[in-house]
Amino acid sequence: MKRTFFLLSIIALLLAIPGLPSGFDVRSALAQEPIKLTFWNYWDGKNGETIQALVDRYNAEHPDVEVENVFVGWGELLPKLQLAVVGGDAPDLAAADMVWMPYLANSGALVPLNSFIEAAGVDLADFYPALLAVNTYGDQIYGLPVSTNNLELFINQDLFEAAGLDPNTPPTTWEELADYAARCANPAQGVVGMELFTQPGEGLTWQFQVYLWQAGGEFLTDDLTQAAFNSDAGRRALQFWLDLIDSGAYTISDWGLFGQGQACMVMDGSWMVGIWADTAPFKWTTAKMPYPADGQPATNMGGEHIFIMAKDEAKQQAAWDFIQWFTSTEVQLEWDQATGFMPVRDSVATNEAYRAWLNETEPRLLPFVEMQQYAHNRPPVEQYAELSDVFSAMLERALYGQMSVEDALSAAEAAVNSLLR
Amino acid sequence: MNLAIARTRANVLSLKTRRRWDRLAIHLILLAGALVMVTPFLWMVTLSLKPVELTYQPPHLLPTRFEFSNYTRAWEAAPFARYYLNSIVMTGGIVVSQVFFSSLAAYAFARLRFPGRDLLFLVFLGTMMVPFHVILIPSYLIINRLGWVDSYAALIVPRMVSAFGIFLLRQYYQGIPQELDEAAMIDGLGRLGIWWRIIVPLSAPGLATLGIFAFMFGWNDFLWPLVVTNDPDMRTVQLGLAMFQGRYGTQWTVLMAGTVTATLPTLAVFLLGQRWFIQSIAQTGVKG
Repeated sequence: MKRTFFLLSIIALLLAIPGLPSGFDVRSALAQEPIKLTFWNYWDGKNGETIQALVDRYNAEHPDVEVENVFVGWGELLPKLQLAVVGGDAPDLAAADMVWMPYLANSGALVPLNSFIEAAGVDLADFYPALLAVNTYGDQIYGLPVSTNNLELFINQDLFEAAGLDPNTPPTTWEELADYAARCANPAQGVVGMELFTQPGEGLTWQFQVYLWQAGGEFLTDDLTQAAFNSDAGRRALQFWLDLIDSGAYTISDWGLFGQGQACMVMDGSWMVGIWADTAPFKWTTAKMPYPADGQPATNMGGEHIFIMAKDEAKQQAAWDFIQWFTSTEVQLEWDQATGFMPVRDSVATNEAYRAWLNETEPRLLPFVEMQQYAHNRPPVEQYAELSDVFSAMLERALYGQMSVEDALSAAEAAVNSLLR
Repeated sequence: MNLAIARTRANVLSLKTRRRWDRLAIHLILLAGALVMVTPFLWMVTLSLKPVELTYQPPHLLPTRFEFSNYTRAWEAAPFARYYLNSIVMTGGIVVSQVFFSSLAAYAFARLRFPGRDLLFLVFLGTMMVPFHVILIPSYLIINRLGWVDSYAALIVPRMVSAFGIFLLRQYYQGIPQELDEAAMIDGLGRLGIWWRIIVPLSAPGLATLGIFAFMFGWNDFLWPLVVTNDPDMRTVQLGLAMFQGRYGTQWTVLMAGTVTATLPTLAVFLLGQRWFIQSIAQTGVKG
């Protein structure tokens, strides 16, 4: 009996500690060991394969450095970065969603890149300024953009033709957009003319911001201390959405109608080009997002930015060398062609070989590439997620007719200002 | 008098029919409840068998197409063999140690008399009230200082004991007649002997129940493995599944295929232990 008991206890103890760290790494004793860098990012699928291939090549070309590419899921990356900062085992570098940058930069865990950029003589003017803006706090630059995307118009060619519209002459103004949408909508078959994002949350906010900017408005004031959307432009943009609903061009429903073949048009991201090319059971094309005749072209953007978290100086330098390589025009050209991301540099967007490649392989990406220069960034404030929530909640009330346009924007303004205070 | 008999008979009859109707009503309610519970699972299976382009097509609850390639794609999307191994080692360690330690502790709380016993028991119970998120960061920091990040120790050691397990088994042990202990003691068994020879064999349903709970807890756990593993080789199945939800779209069909596979072990364990499970829940009146 006693023996059985002891056996059990020992088994339990053995089970508990098989993973004790070895604590001693023979190789670290050897000289000439390459500098090891861990690199976290959430690129999956084709994007993930591409970054792995690039990292492998970089390692082969740089025997003194070994970058380890670690995939961390999109939903998990930010909490893991937060905990890693607390525990002191943060990765040496990482690429993360641009909307997290204000938060990460303010955490104090990112290494300012100014001295590296100066020493390397990187021409920042080649990067789109709106992309750099989310990395710049005071005089410090905490990251560089590596991939981006924006929102333009998708058109269901089958539905257009069924409604007697020509998909090759897409709408170019809001007036035409409303007209096409009303003519293409077919309520009897549940087809909407222009799909809008009407559930509260960032989906609504970031779609609406495009219309706001197109009408000449701003979301926050330049110094990022107050709401600026309660303006003529804001009212005009919101009224435009309400008119689309009132005219029957859009009926409020869950997002996703276009992918199901139930919407003639939708404004969606460049990443959907690759997805719908594989999965949409209908013919579709893309166009630049229409804007008011007296307004201006504008779009919203997302994407990833790369930054350094390493504490050790040698590692910081090695991480910077990798960043410089990855953000170079040459590697970016390759990256964008393999992934379908939008260029972050003008020298890529205007590169002739790149344009020729687009025309040949996926001309539906062209409107996105051409409009990237007009992309705005969402305000880089730490409270952005909360701002976006309260803003969209008020807008939803206007869309459901529970509040007037004026009241909804005023209420949203008050809520946003109190969050910024 | 005839009248009285007739009335009684009528009452009996109506009682019988009413019982039948009651039973029918209960079964209808149960059936509706079962349907509500089963539908998401059914939909999961259906979705896992669909080709991608039909993901958003009108939902058929029963599969109309069988695209088994989703399963192979889910398996190949990440080193799932390694993830399953990690999940099995972690869950196995948690189950064995929780059953072992909870049983010992519960025996002490149920049978031994020592000062502060009830207070200590209350303190244990009290820890159940603390949400895991509150202790997440402190726990992580301890593991970090011990150098246990990316090890099985980090996945198992902090969860070797559970207050719930101690509570569950203590209630169970209190239902075992004290006289058995006393008889064994007269026959010369020590405390550990009584625990091993008398209590453990008699509490098989309770131990099995705790085992099932511990299994489901370990197998489905997401947050803790996420926090204490950085190395892709130390990830568990649940972490692997989360990868199918990307920044630029979710691969629903593949995600569902992976989820169906990951659900099977839980289903198997539950079906195997169901008899004991229900028996002991009924005895202790513990809510799951």
